[in-house]
Amino acid sequence: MRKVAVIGASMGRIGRYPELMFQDLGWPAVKGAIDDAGLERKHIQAVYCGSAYGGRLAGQRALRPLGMTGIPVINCENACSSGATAFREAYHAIAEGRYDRVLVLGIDKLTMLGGGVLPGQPEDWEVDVGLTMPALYAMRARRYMHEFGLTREQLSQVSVKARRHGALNPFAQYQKPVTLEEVMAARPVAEPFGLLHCCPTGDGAAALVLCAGELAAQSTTKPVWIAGAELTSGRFVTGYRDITTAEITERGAREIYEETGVSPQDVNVAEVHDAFAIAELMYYEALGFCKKGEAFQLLESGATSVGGHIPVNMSGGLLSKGHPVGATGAAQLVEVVWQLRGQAGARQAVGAKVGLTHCTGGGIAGLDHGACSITILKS
Amino acid sequence: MSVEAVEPRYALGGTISFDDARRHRLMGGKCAGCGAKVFPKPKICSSCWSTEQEDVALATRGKLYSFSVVHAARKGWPSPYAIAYVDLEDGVRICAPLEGDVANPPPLDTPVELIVGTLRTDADGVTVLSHRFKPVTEAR
Ligand SMILES: [Zn+2]
Repeated sequence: MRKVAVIGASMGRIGRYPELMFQDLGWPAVKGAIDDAGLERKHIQAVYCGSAYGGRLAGQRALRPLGMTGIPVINCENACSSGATAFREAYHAIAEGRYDRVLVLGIDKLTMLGGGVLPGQPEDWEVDVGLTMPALYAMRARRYMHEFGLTREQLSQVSVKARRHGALNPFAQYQKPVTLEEVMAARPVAEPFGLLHCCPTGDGAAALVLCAGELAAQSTTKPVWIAGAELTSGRFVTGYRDITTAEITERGAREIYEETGVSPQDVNVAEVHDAFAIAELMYYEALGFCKKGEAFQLLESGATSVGGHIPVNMSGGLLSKGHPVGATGAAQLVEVVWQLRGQAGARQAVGAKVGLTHCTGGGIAGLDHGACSITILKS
Repeated sequence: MSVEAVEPRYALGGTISFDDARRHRLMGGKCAGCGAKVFPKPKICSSCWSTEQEDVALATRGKLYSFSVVHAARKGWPSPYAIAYVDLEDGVRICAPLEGDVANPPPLDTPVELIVGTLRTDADGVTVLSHRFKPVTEAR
């Protein structure tokens, strides 16, 4: 296996752009990443594109305006992990020697769906009796609160922190901080969640250029190295299941820590899949940043905020930066690349050398989640 | 003049039947290979791959594992409504609407029992029924 570096990263501000064509959401990120790598389009040998709702040929549509088709384009769908799945496949393709330089694109335009709750999985016996994604996480939250004594006010602190970080990120959909009172009083979505406990729907695209290690110096003096990229799917359980434990994330984390030799204590900055407020707390535990049931104490201590020892979601996370589903994994990776290069501006985690991205999702009955991707990057 | 009775639609076909006393039963599958009980009945056992699956009436009582009162519903769904996970006495977990006043929901782990009721009205104006659970009021 060859070493693989990230040499280019780019994304636009996540937001609601119903008037933009899908392709016009995508190409600026692609061009930005190639420019950032100091390369030309002719250097890119293949493109891996992650999109959940983009429909057929999402990658080709985004590349067409740049005249970049004519090379292999591999479209990947894995719900919220689509972009990270594309990244993982691109990484392996280079590591195995199939290509030297590839581009990864994550893209989705959720305003195409007309707003409101995202459509559920078809032929799903839980969706067909009324389960929605917010309700699924809300049930996790209620059970977690029941078992560990977490209060709704404490849960709301996750959103306050997310929006505080997002206010420092010019790429975030929401750049305005919120107060605890505002989070508590927001209109209900799926109890105990109000609107501010849930990520917004939005549109976005993010892109990265990866290359074989020996070529990295031609592009940059600050390559970011890929230590490992984990992908797994949820196990099908038909009986009782503890929904306060993120089974897929816990298992994925164990696998990547073992593969890379990195431990949770080594991680200096992390982007985790906080689609709903409870998720961030569950993932602190599943990723080993704290013990089971102690996530709120970790948040309250400031450890996961700007200046803390394990800053999480400096970008604002999904709650503030936004969650254009298939783009999210790539957007998280762009953020961590910037953090490891020291280019994250006001939200910079000072001296970060090891970064982790985590995304998981896809509601599918009987599985914790459909897919989970965890990536570890090093400067 | 006769009025044709409209057959009720069920949200999940084949999951509701009646016992001899005309009480509702919730049907699942029981694997002939390994004995696993699963809802809804699969065509193949995900554990032992046996395709011999018997129809089996699941336990009608269980405990409220968790729930949420949904305000932001999908198009065509009346809201608010409560959706729950119920752990049946025979080891099966069921996702189902929770019956009762959504403003005063019961605490978690409350014993609940099966009923069948209206889920929603579909696009053709037909009532869709489904399994639901309500807190147990009387002793067994
Ligand atoms: Zn079996």
